[in-house]
Amino acid sequence: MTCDEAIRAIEAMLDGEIESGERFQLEAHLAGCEACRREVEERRAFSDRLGRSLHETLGAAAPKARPVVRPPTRVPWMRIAAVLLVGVIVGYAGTTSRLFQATPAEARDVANLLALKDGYEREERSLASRLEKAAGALDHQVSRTREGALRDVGSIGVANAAMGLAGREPMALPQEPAQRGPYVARKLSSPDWAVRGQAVKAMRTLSAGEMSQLKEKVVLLNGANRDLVELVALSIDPLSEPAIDVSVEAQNLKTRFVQYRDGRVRVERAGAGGPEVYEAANVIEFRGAHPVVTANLRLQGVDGDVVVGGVRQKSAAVSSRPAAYAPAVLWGTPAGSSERAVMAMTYQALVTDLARSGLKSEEAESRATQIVDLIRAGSGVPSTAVRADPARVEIHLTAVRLWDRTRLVAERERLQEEVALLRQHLAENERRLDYVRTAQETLKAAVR
Amino acid sequence: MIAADTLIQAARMATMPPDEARLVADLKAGRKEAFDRLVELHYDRLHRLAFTMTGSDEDAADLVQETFLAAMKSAGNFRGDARLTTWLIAILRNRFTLHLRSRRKWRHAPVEAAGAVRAPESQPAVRPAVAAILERVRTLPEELRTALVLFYLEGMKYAEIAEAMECPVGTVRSRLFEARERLKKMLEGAMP
Repeated sequence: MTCDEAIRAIEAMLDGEIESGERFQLEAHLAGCEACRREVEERRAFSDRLGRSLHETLGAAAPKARPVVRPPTRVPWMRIAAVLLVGVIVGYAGTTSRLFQATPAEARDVANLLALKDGYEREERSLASRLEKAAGALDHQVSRTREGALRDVGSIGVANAAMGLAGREPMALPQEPAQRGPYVARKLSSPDWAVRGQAVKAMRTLSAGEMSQLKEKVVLLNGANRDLVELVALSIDPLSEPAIDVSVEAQNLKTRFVQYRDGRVRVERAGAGGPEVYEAANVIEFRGAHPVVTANLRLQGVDGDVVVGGVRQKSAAVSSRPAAYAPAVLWGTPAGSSERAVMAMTYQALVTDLARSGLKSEEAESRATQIVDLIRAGSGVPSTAVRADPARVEIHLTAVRLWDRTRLVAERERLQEEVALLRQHLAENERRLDYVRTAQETLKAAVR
Repeated sequence: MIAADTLIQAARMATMPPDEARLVADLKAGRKEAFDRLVELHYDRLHRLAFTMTGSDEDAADLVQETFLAAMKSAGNFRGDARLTTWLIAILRNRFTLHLRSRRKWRHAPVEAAGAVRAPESQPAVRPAVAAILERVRTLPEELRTALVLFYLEGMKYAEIAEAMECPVGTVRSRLFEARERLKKMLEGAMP
């Protein structure tokens, strides 16, 4: 007898349903298997507790007043009348016993929560329609923006809004792995925002291979979606080869400056106490994070187009896209941090774009700062106040005051969780709407 | 062949408790008192089972009512080779399945009612941990749920459950095993 068979036999034994042959085999097995001996005690305890719990909840679940059940007679109308009579008797018995009870506090709580839930659902629908409208406008705006970091900001805004409209159900992907990429690509172009959002969410579940199949379909996608797929592919498959790799003398120290294809910057130099390494996600971040090293290197410029130690380094291979931020924003970082990521990405996109259009990097940075300040002043996450409508509370109260206490307590707990979820979703979508508007403003400001 | 069948049936009737054999005979004869007695004897048991299936008192009462009416209609077909309890449970399950197919009304009931555990008002409130167990039980497929209820609440033997659920005894054993395995996984840390 194997342990697997023994465990099944143990259950039968505890149920008092084991045959002598099997019992003999089980006892032989138990004599030599300590793990299965422990199983006997654990399973006995579990079975006892399960039995007790079922008795406690269901053992007394039969109603106090048993409905009158009458056998059918040969005349159908008599049967109909009997059934109707049963309904009347049961209904009458049910209401008279409960009608004169005072409204329990739990009933008021439940009615309040139900009304609150109505309020949140209404607000959610209204916010969803605003979000859909704003996302549609941004999508259109993106399609008229030239390719680059700014357009990425818009594309991510569109995707972010779509995710907020996706609902809770995940997309059912085809069984066949080879079909998943193309399937998601088709759904990304769906006119239905919920489907589009599900497809965006589904992208994070794709393997690298499936993602590359999706990327093959990129030509079929429209503007914002195409950028998004490229960005996600970029973030899944980090381009870790150096695009710029130079050695310079800075303050008499041999220093190596590397920029990888995904934009990451790494500076290595021999320090007094051994080799020192400085890193950042891109040139702009590097300059912010390591000002002393930057000054020593006389580092200027933006990704792919930098001046190191007075020598200009250009590389088309550096994507100069804010790939490092994309996953953080896309996959919904928790409240608070996502705004910072959005702002940082927006700022980086603005600087890159302005520098490319001919401004010196210092000018680009100062102009980008002005634009970001303008956007910040004009936006801010609005928090919708949702209150329970007193009229709705009364309507719900008439229905729930007849419930028994156990049901009320359980329902109150369930509703509290549901309302908390709705509140959270509403706040998330408010932030998404804010991001979409920020992206719209950014694209507009850059055009000006 | 007919004679042999009749003999077997007579032998089975002989193994039935005398009260039940009388009741079956009266039911077959269409006596109204027999029907009342049948309801009296089996209402609570069927209601408990119907309640775990539908998740609400009202739906359970409807289902039980339909079960008794169907039983009355087909009393003539009761062959006496099963206990009345198992026969009624089999009818109840068939009615439930019919509803699932036709109206899809009950299908959603366990989920919707999962948070609304009810106990009679005169009973003390059910402890949350115990209510949580019932909630998990309700998420099990019907055949696992029914096997559990018949075993733990009705105290039926594997063979009786097999008869009521119209399946082999080995299936009852594996259903109970499966049900407990699933519950154990779901309830890790949630048991009182």
